Amino acid sequence: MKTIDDKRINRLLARNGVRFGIYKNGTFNEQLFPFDSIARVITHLEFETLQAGLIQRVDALNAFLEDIYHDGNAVRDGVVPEEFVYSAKGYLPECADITPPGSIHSHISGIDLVQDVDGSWTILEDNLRIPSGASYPLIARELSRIASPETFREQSIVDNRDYGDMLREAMDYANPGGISVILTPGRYNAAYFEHSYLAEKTGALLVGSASLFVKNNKLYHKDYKGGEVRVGAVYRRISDEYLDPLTFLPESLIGVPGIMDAYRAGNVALLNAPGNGVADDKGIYYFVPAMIRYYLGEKAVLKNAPTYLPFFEKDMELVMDRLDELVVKDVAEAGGYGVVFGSSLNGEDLEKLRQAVIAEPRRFIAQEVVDFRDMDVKENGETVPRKADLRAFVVTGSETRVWASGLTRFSRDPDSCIVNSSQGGGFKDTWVLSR
Amino acid sequence: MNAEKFSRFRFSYHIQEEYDSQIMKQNVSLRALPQTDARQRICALSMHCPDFDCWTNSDGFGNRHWSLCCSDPHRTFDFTVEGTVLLSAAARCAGKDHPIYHMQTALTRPSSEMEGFSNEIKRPEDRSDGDCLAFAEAMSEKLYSDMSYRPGITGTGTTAAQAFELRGGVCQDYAHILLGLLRYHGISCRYAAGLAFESGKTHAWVEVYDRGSWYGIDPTNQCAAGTGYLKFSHGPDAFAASVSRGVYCGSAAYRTDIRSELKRV
Repeated sequence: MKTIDDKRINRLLARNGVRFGIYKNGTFNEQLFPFDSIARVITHLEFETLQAGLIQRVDALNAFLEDIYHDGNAVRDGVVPEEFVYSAKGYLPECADITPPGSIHSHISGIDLVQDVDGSWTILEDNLRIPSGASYPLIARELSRIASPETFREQSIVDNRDYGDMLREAMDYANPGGISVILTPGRYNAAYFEHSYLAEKTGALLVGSASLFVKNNKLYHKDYKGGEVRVGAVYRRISDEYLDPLTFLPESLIGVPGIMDAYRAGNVALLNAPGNGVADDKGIYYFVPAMIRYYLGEKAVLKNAPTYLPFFEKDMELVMDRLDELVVKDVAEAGGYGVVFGSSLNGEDLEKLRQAVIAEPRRFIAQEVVDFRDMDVKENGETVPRKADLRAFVVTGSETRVWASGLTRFSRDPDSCIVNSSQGGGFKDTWVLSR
Repeated sequence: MNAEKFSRFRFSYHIQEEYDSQIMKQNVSLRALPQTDARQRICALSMHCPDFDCWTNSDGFGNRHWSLCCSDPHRTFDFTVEGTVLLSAAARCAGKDHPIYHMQTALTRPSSEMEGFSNEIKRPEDRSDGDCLAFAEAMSEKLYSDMSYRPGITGTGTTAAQAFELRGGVCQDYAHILLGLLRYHGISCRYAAGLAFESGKTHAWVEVYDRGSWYGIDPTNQCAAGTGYLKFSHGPDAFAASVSRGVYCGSAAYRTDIRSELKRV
């Protein structure tokens, strides 16, 4: 088998501007995202199971979002406790009673999984707000095909270049009339490369908020000549709280005043819908298998990591007993922040954590440390084992589909299990075999 | 038969802003579009806002609002809504509850001092049995006797805990404190904004949910929000129910003048 030249791909990635930005202590830095050429390989059979499990999960999460922004049956029927829904930071009462086109709330879902030592998959978390990262394996594959065409000719690897089409289909399906745009906060956003790349791949217009305006409950784009054209779908890459200064944070300069009017009136699709944060809350995660049973009448195909909610008394007891073995996560944090391994703490810090959990049980979840499979990574010419996860992209338009690829992220630090790119990790391509 | 007594009122709400230099792209959202319900019936309504495009919509709390926008350079914003309404003498309005109204918000979350204060009143034994209203009235009375109306010592962002510490403030603060105290006891209640008392100012009060209806309580004046209360909006707190919100492009300083009236005819 021909191998792919890491150095060459990384050089090409740099030339193509494949970067992500990090804010640290108030300054903005752009970093390259190191690529490792040893791909994660998912067999055809394995992918079939993954696919079934992911589609089921995303369909249930979409049903949950539609439910809690309307009648709240799942709460009334005791599937999810009230406290985990209506007091969640991600629950936006401003979105109550809105039915988005096709009742789809999460069009693009990024589901993070790890493969256990025994080969089975475990869901780590759901990302239903603005999951980013699809552009990295997409461009890495494109460049790898240039660098080593034989690799892809000689092996049965499912082509992943259809991501732009999948995304476009989701936009078109939800679009009630007008053009489709990708709304970016601009080049100081961590994922600006991705915004521009996906605009290129989908044919959607890349726009900033200054060129959008709302009139009579409809959204319009104003071009450089002052021409106005109706906008029907917005793949928005700005977070909920900045989306509309007349509804959410009044100080937002990157949002579009009145866009919630157009959205509520059914005149524009927002991908993803605002308010999705309530369903990818780390606390809600615990209830997803129950949601799958409740909405779909099915048993969950993919398992959750064993999770305890200190909110429940019996779980609190267990968490207190085994705090030094568990991993504790702050439900309000993302991007690998607010994750603490009990085993890594000294007595004093462990006690601090204990007090924090006792003071605000709803704020934390505790999980068993998943012993996930190491993956080979090339480092200075040697192959070393590193922890890695997989972000699978699930796209919902006329139907829910799983992209036959995904972002495999690995930790470059041999002692760390945290693979987030904002924490300095690297990435791999993910190959799904066609047979 | 509904034997509640209604009285006819005329109302107007006028907001004028002047900017000391030209501004562009102004968007305003005004929840000054009262809706007909069991305790207020809108008979006639007219709106006037020169040079602005206008449309209406609703929000997640069931309020309606005017959306106004002007992209051309301008120096004034001049909005008037007026109409006639029939207002019920009863403070009761049948309606649906929502779980968000039992949840504290950043503006209502009680301090431990407030919790102690609220515990001095006997809690309702059974929430379903409908003594929420009596409990809320008792709480409002206790709060009223402890607070003093002092305009200027608080602002729009003042929290219930901060105002309670001062034992003073305006209607918004009274309402936030009462919401915080009641929600602490698991009672569903919401912030209401509108016009009241034939006064020239917008007012705020509290609505408490009990046996299938919302009941208006005015903690600032220690009375039921019955005749003479015209509601514009409600929500979990003042931020969510705010009557006016707006943004514009420009560096102008502005002067706002709000005049409103509610008069029996």
